[in-house]
Amino acid sequence: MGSNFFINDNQDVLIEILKRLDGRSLGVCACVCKLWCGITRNDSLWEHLCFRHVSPPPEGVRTVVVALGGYRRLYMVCVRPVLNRLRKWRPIGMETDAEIVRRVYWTRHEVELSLSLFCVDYYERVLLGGGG
Amino acid sequence: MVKLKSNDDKEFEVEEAAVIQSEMIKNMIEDGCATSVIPLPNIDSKTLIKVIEYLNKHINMGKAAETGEEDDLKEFDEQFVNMGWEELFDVIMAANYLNIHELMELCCQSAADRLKNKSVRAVREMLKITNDLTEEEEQEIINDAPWAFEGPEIDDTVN
Repeated sequence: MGSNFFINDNQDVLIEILKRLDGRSLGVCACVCKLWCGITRNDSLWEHLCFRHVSPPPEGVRTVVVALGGYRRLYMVCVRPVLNRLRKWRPIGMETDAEIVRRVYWTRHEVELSLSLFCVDYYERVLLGGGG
Repeated sequence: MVKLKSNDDKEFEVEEAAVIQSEMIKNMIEDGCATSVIPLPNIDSKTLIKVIEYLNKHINMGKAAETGEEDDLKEFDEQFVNMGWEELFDVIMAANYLNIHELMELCCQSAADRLKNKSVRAVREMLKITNDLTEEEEQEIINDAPWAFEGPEIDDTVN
């Protein structure tokens, strides 16, 4: 240790840090270098991001989410839009603090809504869009 | 009291109640392997002093909740992580090695908070990372999630 620390030499620590980021910052971090790009493609980071404010995390959805396209896609297509909508409903002053909103509002209902949207997205892609 | 020795040969005495917040040392004590000085070959004295400061402050975590000292502890934590990247990483590595869960959590969250809403350029500069992506690869990543790269929140400053 000492002054020669380089984060990319310590992937475990890097993953621990990236795990605690919000979705937007995680998106930006994918563009930092090849190593970061590879790590941010890891679905477990997105799984953590999707459900870290829900306790306990929903059981049994993992297989379904993975089969329908993975947690990264779940975040991009459903969780993020749902959270954005909810944020717009907040009174002025709280709008900027997505974290507070997420903690207050990210309940089981939103999780269920996101998962339902995810299923819809999947069927739209596969059944309707797949042929075209 | 338990004696810890840093990699630059400095010894520190720490109360057992404080030091057992480290899972690693707790296990050593339970296994009877901590009879004399515990050498810590991965940790320098400067970092060890910080870690011990944290352990001593958090010694009565449970009690703090009862006596309403939670705010005090929160304030301490905020002050504690007010350090440069190098120092923060040293503490993270030490917390990881000693397996001090709360300290690891605190420091990794602080690192994540520093990266929050930063621009790609700012992240690279803060952590001294050389970009090895081609322009095409970069564009592909941006196209994948364009919303992450736009908006007034993006902060291009390095601090």
